[in-house]
Amino acid sequence: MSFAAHSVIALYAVAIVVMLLVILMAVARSVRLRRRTRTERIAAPLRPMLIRLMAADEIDEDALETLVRLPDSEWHAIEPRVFALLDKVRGRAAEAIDGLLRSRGAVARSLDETTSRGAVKRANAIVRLASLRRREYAGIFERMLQDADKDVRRAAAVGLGKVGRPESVAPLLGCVTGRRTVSPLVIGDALARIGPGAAETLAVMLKSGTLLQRKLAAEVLGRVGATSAETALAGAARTDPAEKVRATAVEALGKVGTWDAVDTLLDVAVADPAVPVRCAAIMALAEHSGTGVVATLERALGDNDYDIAHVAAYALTQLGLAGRDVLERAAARPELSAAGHATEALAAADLDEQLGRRATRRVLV
Amino acid sequence: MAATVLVADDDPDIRDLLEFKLTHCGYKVHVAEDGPSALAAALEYKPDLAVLDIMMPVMSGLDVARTLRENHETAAMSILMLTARAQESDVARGFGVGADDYVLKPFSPRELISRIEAILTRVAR
Amino acid sequence: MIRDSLVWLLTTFDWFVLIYFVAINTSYLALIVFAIFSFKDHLRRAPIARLEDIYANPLAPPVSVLMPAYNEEAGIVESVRAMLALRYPALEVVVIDDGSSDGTLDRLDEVFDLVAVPRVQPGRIPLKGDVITVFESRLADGLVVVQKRNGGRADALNVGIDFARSELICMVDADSILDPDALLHVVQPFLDDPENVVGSGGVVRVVNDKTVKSGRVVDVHMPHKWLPRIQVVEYLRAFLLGRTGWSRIGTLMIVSGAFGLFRRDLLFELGGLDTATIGEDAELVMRLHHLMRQQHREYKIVFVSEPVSWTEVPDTNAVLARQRRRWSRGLAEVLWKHRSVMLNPRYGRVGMLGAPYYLVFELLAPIVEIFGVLAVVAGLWLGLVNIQFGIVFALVAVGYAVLISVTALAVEELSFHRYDDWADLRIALVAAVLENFGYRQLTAVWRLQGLWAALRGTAPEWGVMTRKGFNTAGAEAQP
Repeated sequence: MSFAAHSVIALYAVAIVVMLLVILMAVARSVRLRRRTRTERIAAPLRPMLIRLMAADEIDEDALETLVRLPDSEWHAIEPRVFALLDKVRGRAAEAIDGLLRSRGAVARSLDETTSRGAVKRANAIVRLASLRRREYAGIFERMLQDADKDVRRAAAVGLGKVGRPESVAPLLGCVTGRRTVSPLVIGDALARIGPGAAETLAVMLKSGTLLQRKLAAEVLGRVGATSAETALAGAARTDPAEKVRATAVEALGKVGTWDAVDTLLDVAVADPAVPVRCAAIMALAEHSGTGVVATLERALGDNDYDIAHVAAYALTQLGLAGRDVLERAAARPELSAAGHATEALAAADLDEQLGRRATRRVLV
Repeated sequence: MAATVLVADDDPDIRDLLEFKLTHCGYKVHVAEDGPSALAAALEYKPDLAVLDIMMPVMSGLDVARTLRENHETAAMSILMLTARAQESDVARGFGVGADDYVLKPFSPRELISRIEAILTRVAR
Repeated sequence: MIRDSLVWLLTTFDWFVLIYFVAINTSYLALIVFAIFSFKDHLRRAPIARLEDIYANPLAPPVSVLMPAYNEEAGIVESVRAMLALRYPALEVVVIDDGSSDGTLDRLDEVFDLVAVPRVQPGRIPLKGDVITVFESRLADGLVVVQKRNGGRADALNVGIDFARSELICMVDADSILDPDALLHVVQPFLDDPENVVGSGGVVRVVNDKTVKSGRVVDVHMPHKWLPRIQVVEYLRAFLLGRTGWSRIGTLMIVSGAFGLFRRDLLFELGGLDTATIGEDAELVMRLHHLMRQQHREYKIVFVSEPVSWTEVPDTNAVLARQRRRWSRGLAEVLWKHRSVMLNPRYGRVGMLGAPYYLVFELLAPIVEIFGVLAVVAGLWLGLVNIQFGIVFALVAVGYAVLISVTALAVEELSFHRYDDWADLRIALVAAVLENFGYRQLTAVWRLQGLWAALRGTAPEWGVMTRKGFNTAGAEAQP
């Protein structure tokens, strides 16, 4: 064929491809819009049924009946929303929804799908099972923490947050590092939801895990308020080789520590080689009072490092009259670096008081 | 006389559920789907109690609560915060802005109603 | 003799130009293909990676949103409202008034009731324009306004970085409106891989003529005028798809100044943004690459395609011309300043693929697009190349390009589909054609001017972008 013919064919080819794309777009749009209206159309009359089912003090037989008898195609349109309701309510309302799901075989189906070949199916199945909040599935979730697909692992971790037991802590921590990981944020949240029961295992991990694991352990111990872990946290705050872990341990100690923790905090505030760790210690001391504390903070106020002086000034605003006294004296001596920080902290505290708000955004160091 | 309750939550399922249940228990109910409409409704209908979701778009339940407390017309309104956030600081913040009670999601509707009744009874005394 | 060599030169050049156009359009196609893989992953993840979990998660890292503002009185209040209304558990918004001569600060004071606070300046980054006052707001918790003497956008951002309180810094434009969930999305890479991710960026879309209510874009339609309409298509192709594609192959070199998220500690290590450069956002990312490679640190800079920063784009030729000249000049400056990465294996894909690509197919493209086309026309007229060549050339330079633009539209339709009206689809298709039939050639002229200016080292022109403000619906709500 001649070159001319080739080029004409090419021209047509381009035009045809463009046409196909346009048709594809139009079709995709129609399908999407139609699907949306269809789901809304089906769901609209059924929502009141679901509401009545949840609101009733005893089982609303009529509503249950209607929903159980729905044709499969309609049920499937609303099934995800029904599962989602379990994340919003508990008690009798949740029991009613749970019963409905069982009657429709949704639970059995979801269990089946956890072994599906498609990762999306597996992950969605876990999300649904997790909403049921049944301890008996914790084992399944623990196993699926090692799934090849990262979304499945993530869903499993979130699921353990809902139903996890202390035995789930070790497998969860195992996902922080290695080949099959889950975001530390998700694991941390799951661990925190398991609650104080996790404290023991976490305290052990605080000494023996990898850097990320130790840091996470410290963080979660602070969140679950485990005073039993105080010794472990104090030890980590003093001796852990990693700066980030020490800082996190100090923060946690501030949240859960008793009076005994103050000694550790004071030592760390003065002697730790890393600035972020000293800052964390100073912040933590803001929750405690005592002459030792105020004196240490007064010294820190004069520090050359911006972060340390800044945090010390804030902490002093939280320590009542003694703290205020220190700040006002420092503010009166403008030749020193402490004056600026003191003035700033006092002004901020006054503003907060005026506006009746807690100074939660003051220091997000 | 029936007490008036305002329910503010961006989740339609929760709004509808609470509206249904509260109406069933004899309350007069108004609903709002975000902060600004919650405030407008509070000022217009002067409910006895407001159930506020914290995580609403545009204006959080905390901001709404604070504004209600600052406005003398609504300062005496009872406030119950409803939220998925369970951190100690959030709870403190909730009570800090003047909430009368704080309920976590997932919540039991029956329990919520009991708490509402308890608050209103306390106020009535 | 000379005539023969000139003839040979012109003919060869003509063929070179043809191949160039094939290459550049095919490269766009490749980026689109990479982007498709990313979108597939992303969309199937959406129902599982629930944003509610992050919002409710107290471990979510705090973010400081920095907004440098210069003479933005028309839209500043709406932009700030949008930022304050973002759904994010721990957020502060820092507006830096870079010595505005209009009512920017006054508008903010009117609406947010500012009060001066005596803040100590940390001084961790050297500054050009002094700080005058720092304000906080009585009405809006978490809003900070820093008033300083004029020093340029980079300097304003540096002040913001210095005063910011969070470990993550999000830099936006004063005329940007972020989607309410934008931060939740753009922070995801940092949550998934906290040790390695050092920066992330989101999508910039066109906000012209869209209704903004209570800080949210509520009505997504195509703009009214053709120039912004064409830019919608251009941004889809170049930013949404282009950047997603680059990010997919680990070669993201530019994070838009209208929507970038970085770790604060690294910004300090880098010494903030370069105030002597026009393309300060691209320059920052290049320096970040340098730093990480020099220190042999594993790192990732990720582009997230879901979160949107809605930005006003020029709707007149004059303003668009200034913008494109500036962009071209900025790119030239950045590539020159960081020429050490060019084809340098130490810089991995950025050096071996990204930088050369930007040089040949972005910076120098206008040269080929203008002189190349002229040369082909000359060649045709002189009979050096035949009419078939002319047809093929038209196909490749325009037809293929239109195909790419339409493909971009199709991918957007199948993935994010932000434009719901059928009318919008029709307009977009026409714009896709117009983009390659006049618009590209026009912008090529301006880009060439920018390149020329960079080569000559003349003073940069920022000009004034007349802000129209946003199409606000309804009365002013409380902040």
